[in-house]
Amino acid sequence: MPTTLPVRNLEEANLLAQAIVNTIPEPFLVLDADLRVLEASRSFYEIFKVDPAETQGCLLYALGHGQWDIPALRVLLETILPDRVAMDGFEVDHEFPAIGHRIMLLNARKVLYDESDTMAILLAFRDVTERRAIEHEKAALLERSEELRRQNEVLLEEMRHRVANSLQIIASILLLKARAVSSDETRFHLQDAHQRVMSVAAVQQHLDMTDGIDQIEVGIYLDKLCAGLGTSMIGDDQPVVITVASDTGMIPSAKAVSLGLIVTELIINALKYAFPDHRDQAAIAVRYTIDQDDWTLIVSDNGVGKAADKPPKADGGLGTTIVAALAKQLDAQVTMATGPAGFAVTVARVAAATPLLRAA
Amino acid sequence: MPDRDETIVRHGGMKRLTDDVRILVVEDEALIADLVISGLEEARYGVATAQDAEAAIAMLEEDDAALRAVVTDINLAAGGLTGWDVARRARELVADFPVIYMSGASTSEWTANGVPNSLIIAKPFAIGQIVTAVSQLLNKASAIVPD
Repeated sequence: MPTTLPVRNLEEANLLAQAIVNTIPEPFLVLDADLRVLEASRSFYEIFKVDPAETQGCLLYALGHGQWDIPALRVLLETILPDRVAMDGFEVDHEFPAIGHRIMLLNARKVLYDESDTMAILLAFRDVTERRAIEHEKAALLERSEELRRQNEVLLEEMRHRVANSLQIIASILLLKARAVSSDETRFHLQDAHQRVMSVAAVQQHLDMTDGIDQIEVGIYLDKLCAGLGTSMIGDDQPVVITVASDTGMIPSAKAVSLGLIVTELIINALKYAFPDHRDQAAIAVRYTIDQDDWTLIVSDNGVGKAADKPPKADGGLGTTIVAALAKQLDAQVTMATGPAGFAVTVARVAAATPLLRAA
Repeated sequence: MPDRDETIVRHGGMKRLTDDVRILVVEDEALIADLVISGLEEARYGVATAQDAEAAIAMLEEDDAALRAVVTDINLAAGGLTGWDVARRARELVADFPVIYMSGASTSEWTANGVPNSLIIAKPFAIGQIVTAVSQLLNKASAIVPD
């Protein structure tokens, strides 16, 4: 619904216009066609530190000792505005003698009258110096944080490289020593140590591929770990198939390390003891099942099993000790079963049953 | 999940090309080089070695007919040429030259810098992985190029 301003004559209209101009918090000018100041807002005088006597009736460019004689403003008023009715957000970056460096956004509007060839230009200023400074600071911060992120990536990559190289050197030393020593028992221990280094490395490689995510998919991880063990441990003289069957689930990397080392120990153990004589279709099965918070790992083989009267192992049962320690770390129990079908080790974590409340 | 049948074939019944085949091993870390050399020699491959990319490229240029594959580390010396450069030069000399990279860095760089149809083995590796990779590429090369 159209409304009518409460003015009865030209004088009242002028009064209203002046009141509007003085109410606007941002600096505001009304210019004639020759760019003389017809009216300036109170905020214009306050902000640019000029007084009305030396402003009204003056040419804009001559105002305040020529502080508005700005090339960008000339472009706006003399080139852009004659072709258009309005121009918004025109940015002027200028050093003002009284107030220093300022960035202003200018809105300009031509006011044309139907029955006259005169014209007025309304010019509003918005000081965006602070805003621009904050924006620049923000952009610089973003750039800096992006630079830091890039540096971190490079450092991480370099660290990965060094860790991998160092592990490779350790693994190489162990294996070269194992080949050089004459004692079977020493060779045996060195090969074991080598394999443990490789198992930790397998976890590391898998974690690197997950790009810093602290949870890894257990099935894929066990599969790769066992494939690596197969490549390095299984020789031509006794082929052994290692199969992995796992439920799908994510596990924390710390648990993956322990679980991976347990699997490594049990597979090494099976490869060493399960097939003393050549056997066709020799196999080791790794199974990992998840039941809510509980999980079970079973590593079984179809080898000769474990004889009750078997003499102590050459490694003094180190593998068993390691498995027991790692299982304890995972809050899991280890059980072993032997029979004509082979040998199986079960490592299971079963949450403790909720204690029953007893009546007094 | 890898094919288990394939796994057993690879581990148990691998056919190896040997004897007159020379593999160029490029590695600046002597202990790692020793391991790779001993593994390849054990598999009855002839081995030539270089400690940096410049020496490796010189060997490829002088002796490219006798070398049949290159196994190279990537970061060989600060500021110098890399294993990527060695492989590129090898491919300039022989279009389908078998290339195996040994890398401690992430394999994503391989996509950007590696030559086509190459293999990358992440460090730390078991020596069996290098021998298998060499064997695979040489078998492939001999299947493509008739004697």
